[in-house]
Amino acid sequence: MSSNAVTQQPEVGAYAAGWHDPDAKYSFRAEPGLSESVVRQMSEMKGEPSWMLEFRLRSLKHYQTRPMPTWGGHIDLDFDSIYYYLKPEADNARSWDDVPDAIKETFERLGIPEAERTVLAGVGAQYDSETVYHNLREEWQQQGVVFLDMDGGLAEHEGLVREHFGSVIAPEDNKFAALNSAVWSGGSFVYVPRGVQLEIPLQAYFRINADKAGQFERTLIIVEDGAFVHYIEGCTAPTYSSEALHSAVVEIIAKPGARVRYSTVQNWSANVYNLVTKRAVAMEGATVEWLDGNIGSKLTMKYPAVVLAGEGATGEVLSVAYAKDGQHQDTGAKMIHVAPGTSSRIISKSISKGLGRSSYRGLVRVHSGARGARSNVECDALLLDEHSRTDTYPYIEIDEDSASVGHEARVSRVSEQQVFYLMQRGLPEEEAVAMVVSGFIEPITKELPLEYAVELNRLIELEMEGSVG
Amino acid sequence: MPGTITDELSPVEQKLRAWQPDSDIPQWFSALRGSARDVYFDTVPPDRSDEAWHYGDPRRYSLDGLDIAHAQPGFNGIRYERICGLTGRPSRVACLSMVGDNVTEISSSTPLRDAGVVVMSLRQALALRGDQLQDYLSAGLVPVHRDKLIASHYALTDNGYFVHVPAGVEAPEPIHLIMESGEPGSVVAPHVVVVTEAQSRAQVFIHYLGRNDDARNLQLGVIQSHVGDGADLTLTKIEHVGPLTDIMTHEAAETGRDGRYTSIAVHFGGKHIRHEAVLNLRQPGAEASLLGMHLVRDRQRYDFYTQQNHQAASCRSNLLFKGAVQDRARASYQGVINVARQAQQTDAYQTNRTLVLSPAARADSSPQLEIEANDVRCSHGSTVSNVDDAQVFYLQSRGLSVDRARRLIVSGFMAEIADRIPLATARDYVYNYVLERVQ
Repeated sequence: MSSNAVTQQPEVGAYAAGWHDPDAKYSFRAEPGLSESVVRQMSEMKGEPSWMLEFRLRSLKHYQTRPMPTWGGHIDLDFDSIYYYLKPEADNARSWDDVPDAIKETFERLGIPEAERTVLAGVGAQYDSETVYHNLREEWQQQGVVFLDMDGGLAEHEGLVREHFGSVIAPEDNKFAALNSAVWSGGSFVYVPRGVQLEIPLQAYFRINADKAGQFERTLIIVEDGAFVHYIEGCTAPTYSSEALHSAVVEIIAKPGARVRYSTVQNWSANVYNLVTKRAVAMEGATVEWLDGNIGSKLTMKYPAVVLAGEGATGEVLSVAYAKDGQHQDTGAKMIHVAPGTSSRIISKSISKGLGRSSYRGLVRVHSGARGARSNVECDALLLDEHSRTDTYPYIEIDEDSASVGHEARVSRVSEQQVFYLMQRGLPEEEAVAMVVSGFIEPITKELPLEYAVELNRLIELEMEGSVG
Repeated sequence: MPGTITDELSPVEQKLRAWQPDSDIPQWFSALRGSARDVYFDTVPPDRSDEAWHYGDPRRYSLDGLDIAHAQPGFNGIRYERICGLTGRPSRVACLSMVGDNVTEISSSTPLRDAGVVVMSLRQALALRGDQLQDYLSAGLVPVHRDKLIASHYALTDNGYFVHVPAGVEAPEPIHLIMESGEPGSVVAPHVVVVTEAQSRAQVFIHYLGRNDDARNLQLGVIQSHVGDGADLTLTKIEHVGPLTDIMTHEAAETGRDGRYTSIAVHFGGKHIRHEAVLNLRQPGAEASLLGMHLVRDRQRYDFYTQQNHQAASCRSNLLFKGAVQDRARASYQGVINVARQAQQTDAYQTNRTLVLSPAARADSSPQLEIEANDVRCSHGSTVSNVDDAQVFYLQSRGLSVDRARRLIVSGFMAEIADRIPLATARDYVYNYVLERVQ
């Protein structure tokens, strides 16, 4: 435990969740910086099997030798001043009453208890690097559904974890996947047995709460034949004065005929680097959908991917990005068509305000033999101010003559006509612009559960304040 | 250091190393070549991390194993006349041919000459209009330092063409420039400068012709066009070269206020073909089109790289590249629209459509946007697919064979570009080629 975090005062700004819990306590806080001893210490404290330690060390080695990516956003971060492992005081709690008061208050402000009061069960909330609260409905347990934090998943289902962990995203995939693989902590482990249809989404809230806290969640979702799950991850972080790094890895395995939907609305504070690797494998006839909302952060680099490995598999990415002054959203999607009859769709909407920069970066690759593969990509960018910036970098690589692939992108500003129309119906200009922006992202928000759609719209409205005049 | 690998230098590199400025050539031009030679020997080839070379492979245009081309008569007069439509009216068309490093005038046009239009070899221009040429070559439209390949062009170039259309003149006849590959095992580096002064208008055709090679040969060409205020230039490039020819051409244009520029690039034949088109819209009100069509066959490898740089307000640019890939060929397109902060009221479009006709054929496409101004209309689109079965079925129901139907559909697909070629004989040639060669 260190006193640094406690003395830091929050910066109060337009950021909705920009408060800081001054009493956050950590039972263990590793030295800043990364070394083999930090990794060993962490693995030992977690009581992990030796293969996981070996996996971490192999990943660390790759991370240390792999150069920083030269594309994408500008990363200006002192990796040696980051804390790579934090363990909060509270142990995993089964019921709400067991959660310590300080942590409860954090959740209170995030609206978790409301979610709990409604039918939104199965709340797994991550407080810094460890999941402290878990609740899984009994009926699901009876169905054999597993929804644990990743460390718990490793402890209780080692066989399943060992088989699938790192099978979709190898540590060697990229520098930040290697970093996560070395120091991962927390995240979710979800297992849905054959044929189980989860009608109520699984939700996990997590947040960075200590100054310089690195968050390296590792999520693994395994969905067996014909099963369905909707996993929702929401994310807000208080505003800090120094940089913070978030580098998650999410792996999804959708077995034949399964359907997985993964929804995220991320609202990082403006100093966070969010460098995330998310990838799913869709087997025969499976469907994987990523819904991705990115607001805030200093730089986000995130390209949810679906490997369409089985015949007739379907992949979809719907994403919204919002960048304001000093922010760069470098987001997109990847669709890798390997099997015949696969189809994919990417819809990306971005909004740039002030000097904000949003970039779409995406890949559609159709391998030879993926007969009749189809893919369609649509990117729309909205520029709110004179010097807002947007980029589009799609890569289309087709090695199959029966494939059909299309990509379209459009760039525009808020239409004066639309604003004028709304104003003559009595709306002030600011509201009129906000309404046009809401309409612009509506194709994505309508896919989100209601409370998330409301939250996303509200966040964007807050971000839009003062954008007129 | 370069000195330590002398043994591995190709004949042309050895000559470059030993090259001494020629006293007949203006000093500034020798200095340009000399500095390019230094860049060439001091830099490594670009790799994939250089966005311009994400899909291209610079090794395909390397000087390995090659020697400098020597003038050799050998153009295929019949085919060339067919394309240019020279037959029957040779005295009215200006036509120059470059074989190896030697330019000959095949025919001249009296109306063009009377109008004050200058069409000459680069060497002639260096001797007669050196100061004028220096302004254009030193302006940096195609920077020597861009990469090792552009440097190799400048280091090697000692001939090419210079076209000058004076202010207010409408060139009464098209201008034909022919580029023929050198002998097998050789490299040529033609440099073309086209200047259309304010309020002038011209049509320039550049024909790349080749023979049936028995060894690799290479062309490293640069075409730079300067379109004055209110001027209108149409540049049509038709490449149809032998099966062992590699060509990299960098085509750059800059436009003045309200200038108009149209580039049409047709590519057939060759082995490795790279076409780079860079458009710099430097003054308000300009309008430009970059059009391309290609049929890529056998084991050919084509790659296209384009930039639409909007540096001034109220300009329009439209790019449309259409291609068909068959057999084991591969075509890649990569291009970017850059809209600078001051370039408000920009209209910019970029479309790449590719038909993949055979199972082993391959296509890549990466149309990109980088936009820093908000009052703009920008869009791009890219499609990759085979011929639509429904269209083939429709034509079959009208009595056509599948084969015939596919050929017609592919040539119809190309028509959007082919119809823009401002010369009937060239249009016919292009259509016939597509109809005959499509699988």
